[in-house]
Order: sequence, then C-alpha cells, then structure tokens
Amino acid sequence: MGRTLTEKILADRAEIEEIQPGQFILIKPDAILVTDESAPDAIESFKRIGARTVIKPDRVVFVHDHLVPARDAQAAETAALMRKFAEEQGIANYFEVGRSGVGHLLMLEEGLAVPGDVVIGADEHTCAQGALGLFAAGFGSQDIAAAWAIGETWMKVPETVKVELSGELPQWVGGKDLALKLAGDLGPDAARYKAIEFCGSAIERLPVHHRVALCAMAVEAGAKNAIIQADDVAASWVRPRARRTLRLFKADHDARYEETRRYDLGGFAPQVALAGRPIQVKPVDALDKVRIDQVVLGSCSNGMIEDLREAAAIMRGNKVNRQVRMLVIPGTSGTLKQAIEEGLIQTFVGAGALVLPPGCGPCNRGQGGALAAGEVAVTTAPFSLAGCMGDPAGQVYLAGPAVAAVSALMGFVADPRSVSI
Amino acid sequence: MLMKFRATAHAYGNYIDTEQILPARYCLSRKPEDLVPHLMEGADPEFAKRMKKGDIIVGGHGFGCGSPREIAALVIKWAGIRAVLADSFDRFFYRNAVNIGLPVLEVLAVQYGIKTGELVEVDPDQGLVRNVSKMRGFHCTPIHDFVKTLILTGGLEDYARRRITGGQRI
Repeated sequence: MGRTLTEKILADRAEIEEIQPGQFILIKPDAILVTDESAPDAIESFKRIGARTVIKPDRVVFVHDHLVPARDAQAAETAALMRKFAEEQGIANYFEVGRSGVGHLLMLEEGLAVPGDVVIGADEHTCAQGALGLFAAGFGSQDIAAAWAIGETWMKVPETVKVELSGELPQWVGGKDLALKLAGDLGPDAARYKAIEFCGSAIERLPVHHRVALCAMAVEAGAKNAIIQADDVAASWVRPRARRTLRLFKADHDARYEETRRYDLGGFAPQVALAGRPIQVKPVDALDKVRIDQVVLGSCSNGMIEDLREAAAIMRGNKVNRQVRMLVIPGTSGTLKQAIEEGLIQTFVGAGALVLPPGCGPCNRGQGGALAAGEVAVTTAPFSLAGCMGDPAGQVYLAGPAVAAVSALMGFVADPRSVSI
Repeated sequence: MLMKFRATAHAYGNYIDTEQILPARYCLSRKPEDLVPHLMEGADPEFAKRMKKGDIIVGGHGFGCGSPREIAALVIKWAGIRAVLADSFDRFFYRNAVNIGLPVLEVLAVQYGIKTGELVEVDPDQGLVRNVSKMRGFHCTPIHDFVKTLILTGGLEDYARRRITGGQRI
C-alpha cells in the first residue's frame, strides 16, 4: 500500500520495510533541538539515566530563545548550565545569545533541518519545521535525554489528515490566516495525535514563510506534526544553506489518508482567534470593535524577514496608535541584521514600536511584554494560554502580521483590507 | 506480560486538561507529598480524599490537553493510580505517561460506559475493559510490546540506562 509523506520519512529513518498508523517504532533523529527553557529538565533526566556522553553531539542543537537575555538569576543559572553541558559534550551547534533566535526558524535558516530529516525538539512548536518537507515534532525532556543517551527515540506512527489547498491567496491573507482557519475548522479532536499533510495547487506557489506559519499552528489542532512536500520553492530556499544532503520524498499516489479536507483560498479573509485551547477563530471582519493595548510581531510562526516586511509595508510613514504599545521581535539574529539592512527596523522604531532581542517573545513569559489584568493584545505568536502573556485576565488575540500591524496603527483589532495604505 | 486487574473508577468527561489534573499554582514543588493531595483538584476537589491506591481514572476525549506539563502524569503515578483510560489522549500527556511507565489505554466511548465508583476489570494485554458493576465490555488496542517494556522496566529513563549499561536492545 502507498505511503503518506510522514510514513515515508519515518520508515526510511527507522529502517523498516512495513509501516502503518498506530505502530510503535524506534527511530534515529537527524537533529535534536533543545532550548534554554527545556535544557535544564533534559540535562537532569540525562543525569538520572546515568549517561555520561551524548552519543551523537553533532546532531544536537542548543539555542537561546525563550529567556533572552537572562531576565533574572535563575535564567542566568539555566543558561550557564546549558553552556557547560554543551562544552563538556562537544555540542558544536550551540547558538549563544546574540547569535541565536527562535529555534525552529534558526534550524531552517542555518540549514540544520533539511528536507527528508527527522527532527525532534523539546518545544511544542517544533512542528513548524515540517514546512520544508521533513518530519518534526515536539517531544518531552525525558525523550530528549534518552535520545542523547541511546541515539534513538520511540514514536507511534500517526494517521495522516490531508489538507488540499487550491486557488489564489487574496491580498493580506497569509499562512497564519490559513493556519487559524484550519485550526478552528478541525477543532481539538480531528487531527489529535495525527500528521497533517498540506498539498494542492495553492501550496505549490506558497513562499516558505507562509509554509512555516501554516505548519507552526498544527499543534494547536492537537496534531503531532505538519508537513509539506519539499518542492522547487523549498529546495531552492534551503540549498544554499543546507548542512546535509536534501532528500526529497513524495507521498505515494495511492497513500491512505484518514481524512481529506479541501479548501479554495479565493474567498478567504484574514482571521483572528481568541487565544486558549482550543482557540476560537473568526474572520477579522466578523469581530466587534475590540480596543487593544499591545501588539506583538514575531515568534516561530511569524518572525521571518518576509513577515517583518509585510508589517513594515503597512507601517511605513505611520505611527503606532497613542494608546498602544507595539513590540517587534525579529525571529533570529540573522533576520534582525537583514531587517536593519533593509530599513525595516527604522520603520518600526520611527512608528513608535519597541524592538526586542530575537527570540520567542512574551508568549511564554520569557522576554518581557506582560499584560496587566483586563488588557488586550494582538500577537502573531502561534498560541497563548492564560497567564502566558502576563495576567491571566489579559485577553490575547492571535493574528497574522498584516492584521497585527494595521491594528497597532488603529488601536483596535482591524482588517487590513478596509484600510487604504 | 501485564496482569489483568480490577479497580474502582473515577470518571470524568472531555478535555480534562493539565490545569485540572494539577493546577499550576502547586507546580513549584516537585515533592510527591506536596503534589499528590492536589491531584485532579481542578476537576474534582474531593478526588484526593476519595481515591485509594490501585484505582483508575477514566476520561473522555483529549485527556491531558492544555499546557504540556510533564509533572501531571507523574503525580497520577505517584498517587498510585493503576491506569488511565480515555476516549483519546493529548499527545504530550500520552508520551509523558508512557515514558514514566503509567499505563494509558485508549478506549473508545469509555466515558459513556463507566461512572465514578463502578468496578472495572482491565486486561491490558488483551485490550479488554469490562465494567463489572454494569456487565458491559469495551475493546481497545492492547498495550504495545514496547510500551509494556517501559511499564515493566519503570519507564524510559530506566530503559535508556539498561541500554547503555547492558548494551542490549530489549
């Protein structure tokens, strides 16, 4: 029987002939991503195992993204622990504060995750990396520690839900809007513990940053991973940076999917979602006028240079509303450098926004930018749980960069299509 | 082989999240004696007083969803809960449970067939669950051999330790 894209990659890396959903497999990951937030628990677990050496240190990637720069003594201790462990174990792919960024984006931009790979990451949104045609999913700290110690991890082969997208993407609608719409449609159960494979004529034209935003949100629909076949768009993006050989897998024509959903993007509107689990999604024009206090642009789902360009195009020559704070967080140090060269940072600062260091931003309390009780924010992050961005009584809306930028100017959750820019 | 066992159920509905299993305000401590008295407090404040070692928890869809809190599954194990049965599990909760050797069984529609206080017979090897109080049976996928290995060795860390010290694949 034919195989889905996820089944192909897993079977290849697990070196097995037969593969089917529900099966348990042992697999050797090509890369293991660990962040400053997850490193301490993984290092603890590694010690409990009694392991002395990471058996494939060249496959381990350490990033500083959640707590940059260290906000207090505890965060500094964590960072020091990570640094020491990396040195002892000879982990060369160690990205220090100032040369780091959101792990998932850094992995793609640095060519450390390439098509055909199996990547495990100690972070929920590792699924973002599936954008380049690789298997990537979030794992726990014990999984990471065991994989360091024995070079393998266990997996339950997921069922695959196929999502076919056709039609033209309307202006101001991007990967994030598609992701929100889809997470709302699927709800928390339809894709639970499953792979989501995106395909169709609209995907073939979709630039990489939209693919990343689309895949990053898969975990919000309960999915294990999201994946898009690496085509010419992905291959030409990744080739100049790839540190390993690309392996371009395709799903079989007779692959068995648990379910197929089809969408025509033609009539799609920008989407917003009231954060939580599950999220509550609406087209932006269906929302009553919601006044906002803060806007956050960045994160693993919208922290790439193209996301910053989209927001800057809206903000150029305009001012952030006087009642709004806007935080701009380039995804990685490389993106920050590029944004400076292109004049985007000048645009943001000129508009009255605050630029923060590359990283995950406030969506997990790590980088400042908290909300007071009753305050409302719009963020391009893929999620926000109660209290993640300050007071649990703060309200957070998820949206793409265009909605975020235009909302920052207007002072309420606004539709980029209704404003002449 | 895992033994067939009988246990009293504590039953809940859909989307019992990690905040209900163990509210975040208690998570600063990592000690069983601090945490076990608050198990399931967000869903059922009487649970910790009512439960006995060897009981089971029954849930609906998405058991363990919300913030992936590794401690949530561990506290269930510390409390002496023998197994968790649910219509479906959140993926992070499922992995965490398997990794610490807590038996988790996906049993379709189990939430409608078992009520709190009822006696349930579970045969993890055969994938058979029977509500003894009501004489009603459920089939599910038997616990996989690899998961069984983790349950019998005590969890992933012990499994990994055996692999590096003994060198053998189990």
